[in-house]
Amino acid sequence: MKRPAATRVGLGDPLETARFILRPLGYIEAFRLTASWRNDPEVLIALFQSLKPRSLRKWMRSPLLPRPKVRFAYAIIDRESGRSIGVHTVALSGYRSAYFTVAVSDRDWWGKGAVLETRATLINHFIRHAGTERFFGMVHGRNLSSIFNYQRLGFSHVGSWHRHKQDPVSGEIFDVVLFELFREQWQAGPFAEAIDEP
Amino acid sequence: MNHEAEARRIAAEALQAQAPLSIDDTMASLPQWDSLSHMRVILELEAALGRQLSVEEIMSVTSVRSIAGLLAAGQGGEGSDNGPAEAIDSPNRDC
Repeated sequence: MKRPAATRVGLGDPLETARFILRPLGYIEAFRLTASWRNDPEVLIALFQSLKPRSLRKWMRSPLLPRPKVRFAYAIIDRESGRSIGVHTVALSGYRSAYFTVAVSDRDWWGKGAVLETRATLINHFIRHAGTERFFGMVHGRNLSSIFNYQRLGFSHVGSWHRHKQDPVSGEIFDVVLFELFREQWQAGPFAEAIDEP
Repeated sequence: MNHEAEARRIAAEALQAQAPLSIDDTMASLPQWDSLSHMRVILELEAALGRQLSVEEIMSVTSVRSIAGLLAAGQGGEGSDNGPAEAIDSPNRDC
């Protein structure tokens, strides 16, 4: 069933949270903002579960970059300084479903709830404007920060793939953890905003 | 030290808590339980157990009680305040 067109209006609007502005990014802008991260080992391990640096050509297909109608990228702007501290994307995939990719490049913001705060706002926004009914995520089994973020937002751990991947650089073999959150779960939780039903 | 007391100590150190923690505290009830302090909780728990946690065990760490449960299970349950059945604490507790 096609989503009602009206629900998609607003997906490209800037969003505000208590501490941040989420500013929609076009492809070129997102590429410029993120290209240097392709050599950042901590960003690489979190995004790709690998320490292998990405070429510019490969980065052009980075999950942090937007794609028309299916992947929306937002610069996370610190309201106080006006600086971008990272990028959060939402990709529509599957039946009324979406998943996130995030990189907070500014280390000063690590452990300060930037991902929680922005992701909660994005979930509310995509439920309201994209008709999204389910969010899912797949995380490296030792990405403890990311696991915390999913759990804290109320995602359910729906499975694990054991010894699923190997980092070509470090040789490490690791597990992958799967998360899922349905709209009804979200709306019963503490971060949901009231949504006016049509 | 029993497992509940050890769990409270591990959590308090990792979260740099100023006040004593309750066994019923969870990641949802403690504002200082953020992503970085969660990493410290897991690493301190692994140090206490002398091994790396499995992903299922990592998923279960959502409360001070769940830390006590893992300590009890990992150390054979001697002196435990929780049965092994409480070693796995559903992530949905914090929904």
